[in-house]
Amino acid sequence: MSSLSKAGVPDIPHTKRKMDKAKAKKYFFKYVVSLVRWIFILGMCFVVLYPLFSKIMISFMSIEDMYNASVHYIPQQFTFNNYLNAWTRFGGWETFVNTFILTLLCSVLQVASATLVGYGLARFKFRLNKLVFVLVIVAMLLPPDLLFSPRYGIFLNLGLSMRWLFGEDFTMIGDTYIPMLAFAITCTGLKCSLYIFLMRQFFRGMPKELEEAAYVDGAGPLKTFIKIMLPGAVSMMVTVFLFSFVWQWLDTSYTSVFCKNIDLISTRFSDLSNSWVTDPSATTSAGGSTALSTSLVKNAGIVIIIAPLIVLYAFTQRFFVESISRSGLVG
Amino acid sequence: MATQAKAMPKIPKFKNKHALEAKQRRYGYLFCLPFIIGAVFFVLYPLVLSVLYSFSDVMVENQRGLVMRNWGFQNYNEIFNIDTSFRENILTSLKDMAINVPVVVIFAFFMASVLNTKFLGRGFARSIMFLPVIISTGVVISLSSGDLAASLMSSGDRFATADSGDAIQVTETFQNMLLQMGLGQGFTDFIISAVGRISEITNLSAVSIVIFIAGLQSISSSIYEAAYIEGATKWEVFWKISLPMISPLILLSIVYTVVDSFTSDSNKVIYQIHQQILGGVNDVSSAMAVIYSLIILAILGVVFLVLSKIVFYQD
Repeated sequence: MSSLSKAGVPDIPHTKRKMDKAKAKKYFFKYVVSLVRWIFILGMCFVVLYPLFSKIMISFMSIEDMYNASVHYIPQQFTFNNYLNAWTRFGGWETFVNTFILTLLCSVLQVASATLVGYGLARFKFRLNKLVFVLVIVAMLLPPDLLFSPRYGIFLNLGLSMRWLFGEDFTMIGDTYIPMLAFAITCTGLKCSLYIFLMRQFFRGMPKELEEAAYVDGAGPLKTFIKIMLPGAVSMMVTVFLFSFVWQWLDTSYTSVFCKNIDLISTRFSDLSNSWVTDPSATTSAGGSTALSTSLVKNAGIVIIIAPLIVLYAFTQRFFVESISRSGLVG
Repeated sequence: MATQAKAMPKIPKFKNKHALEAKQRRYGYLFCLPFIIGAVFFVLYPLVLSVLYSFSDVMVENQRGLVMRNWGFQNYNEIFNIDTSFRENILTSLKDMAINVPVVVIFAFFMASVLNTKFLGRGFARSIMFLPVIISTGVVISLSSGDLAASLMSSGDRFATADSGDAIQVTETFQNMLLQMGLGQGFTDFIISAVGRISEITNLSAVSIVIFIAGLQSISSSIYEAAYIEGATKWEVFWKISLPMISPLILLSIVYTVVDSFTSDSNKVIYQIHQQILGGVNDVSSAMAVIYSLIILAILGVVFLVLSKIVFYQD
């Protein structure tokens, strides 16, 4: 104040100008930052979306397009042949329905059991709580293939011992969904420990007062869980369902061991791409190489596999983003 | 005595002091029952069996199922002394892990910080950044690698020869520049291979981005307000508030990335083990899996011990 009054009137516009300058600098800085951020994010989105984009575009191309240097990404000879080809190689609707049933059953069971176990670990004090949680973490850390051989043995022997019930040809492993469903119910299947962990963290983040109020009003733990906690956990359950559905749908490690005789999209497709049978119609049509035509069919196949998942993601991403912000992940 | 009982007739109801706790215990076991059963039958028992398999010859017999014979170290002898591919694969996967983990964690943290700021289209950008969880796992990633049509689309001999030539030159110039700066061959290779893996890195870091965004949002804004009122700069706030508050999640993210890179289907060791299992070789594959798990657990143990000293817990 004193310095200002000493300098007198002329100083006031000066400081004002200075302030304007600072303001301008601040705004300039802000815009530059947001511009850089936009460019960065666009670049990252490009990195993520480009492979998908190129796959979709390639899947519509005919083999002539591949040899035509003027074709960049928009196919000139638009064709659905790759899709038809891939679809018959999958085994058509039967395979699709098989995969859908298995995936849906597994993911629903996984979500249900992960929710129960996660809630049990988050809210109830019992002697083995810590031990069970440690087991969840251990099951998460171990490579699944370590347990595949023994699990295979268990179900093989179980199937053999049940032959008196189901007939002489009965093999539980490979022919039935039973092993996969057993893993799903007991929450020891594909990445199930991660789901338990997520549900546990989520329930721990929910306010305790909710349950206490319910207990005071006379509701038992079961009723409290169903009526109070479950509605609040919908977003996380949808997220876990999304993860579980997607990973089960694309999984080849469990299904190639435990459902090897059932036609599933993922296993069928990876088998076919490992030892791709030459398709005469594809080679003769353009006289081109088989490798290239199989590659086109492969791209179409990837789009077929991914498409249901993208649709699912589009519907559930709202819950997904919400559950992240409320996931209560604090280490 | 009698009058007392008359005066307080409700006392017998509270006779069991630990009724609530007993109830809690019972319901705790009830809720966790699925996993407890699963852990015993599908985790612990197979774990023991797997170790037993690795020390014996496992055969599938027509009526008796899997049987173990000929106990001894022959499986371990085979994977270490006879067939060297297992050792090589382990070294490759260790090297991959060493490159991927730091890059993924730093990248994910950076991405999460950017996605956590307010800007137009944030929701859209977020849902795109989480997309790799869906489109690049499992069978898709193994099919997409080395795809002929895709590489033809972008290859030099079909079109855009000059562009790709330039790109290679840029990389070479960059590499030479780094070398001339005296950063050493090892570090330069690290940077170059990290840049070359950008697509792989975005795929791997999707879950870590989710973890970090969740963590950044859980820091209460009052801490930031207090810091800014005290005159802290953004730089200081980042180092003194954001980073310590999020350090437990950095640990979580590192552990997740390590586990992910070790147990994903695209890992060479996992692929080798899986092919053995599919081929019906259960004993050698068990020996490999046991050794591999021990290595994973050892590395995670070291990571955990080193980092848990740095990590800051608020409560």
